[in-house]
Amino acid sequence: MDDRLLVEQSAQNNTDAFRLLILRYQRMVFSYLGNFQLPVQVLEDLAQETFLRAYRNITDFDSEKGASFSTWLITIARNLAINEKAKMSRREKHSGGSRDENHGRNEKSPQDILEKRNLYSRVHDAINQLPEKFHTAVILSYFDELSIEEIAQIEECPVGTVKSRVFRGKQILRQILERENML
Amino acid sequence: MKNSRRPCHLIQEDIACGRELSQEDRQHILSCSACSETAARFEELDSLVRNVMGADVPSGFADRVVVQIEAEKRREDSFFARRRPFLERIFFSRAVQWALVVIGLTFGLFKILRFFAGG
Repeated sequence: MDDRLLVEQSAQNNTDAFRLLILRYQRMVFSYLGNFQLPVQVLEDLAQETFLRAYRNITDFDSEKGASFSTWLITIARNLAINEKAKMSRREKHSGGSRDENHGRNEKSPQDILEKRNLYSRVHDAINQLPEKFHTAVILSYFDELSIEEIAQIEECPVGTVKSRVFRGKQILRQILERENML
Repeated sequence: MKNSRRPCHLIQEDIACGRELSQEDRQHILSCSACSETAARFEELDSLVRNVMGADVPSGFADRVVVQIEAEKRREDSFFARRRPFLERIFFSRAVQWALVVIGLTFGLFKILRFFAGG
């Protein structure tokens, strides 16, 4: 089932459809938020808030404008993370600049963080360049927790078709990343 | 002797999907340059994508979000449900019904007066 259909059903208050979107993109959202060096609990709260906002405003998402659902979702996550970082730095200033012990689980330099975010955006953009049927297959194979048989059932197509879409999609993705000198 | 080995493209699709391969398929990959090259290329791609975009998700995360969404929906529903009797009381109260009758009669009377006044 492609994103557009799931978004349409979610807009009609179908939480089962939205649950599939969460399962599909939760890993991507956690990974993106992980680039902001936030404490674990804050990270989960922000991920949760990202999906809640997406659900509340799902009727605003317009796939016709060309943006993919994942891009829209990542934009929400980004805005939330930036606001949270600003709030945290204000709190730090007020508390005399002492850093919370919990604050970055794994301290990295700002340059490392920027590099990781940049890498993330480039891979994300490359995935978004895939033609729709390959895009869905690749996203499902990387980020969804479903087996190929379950994907075939959802997509209402034979297992062999899903497998060949994943194969072809990954081939195209590799070509895109090679062009970008990332492989 | 007939070779019953699976064709290379099927093995390569399974590699792309990250499926468990049989002993026979694994042995074939070691001896087939096309399949071993495909395996290496997909491994490199998968490791880049998973490294850059993969993350551990707390178990039951999706369910917790859905529970929250449903709780919000229930809250919204009960918000309107609580107000419905209030709105019904307003619109179906005797005072409002009389007010509507008086407005109707006044409007009708105004029209009749205007008619006789030659308007």
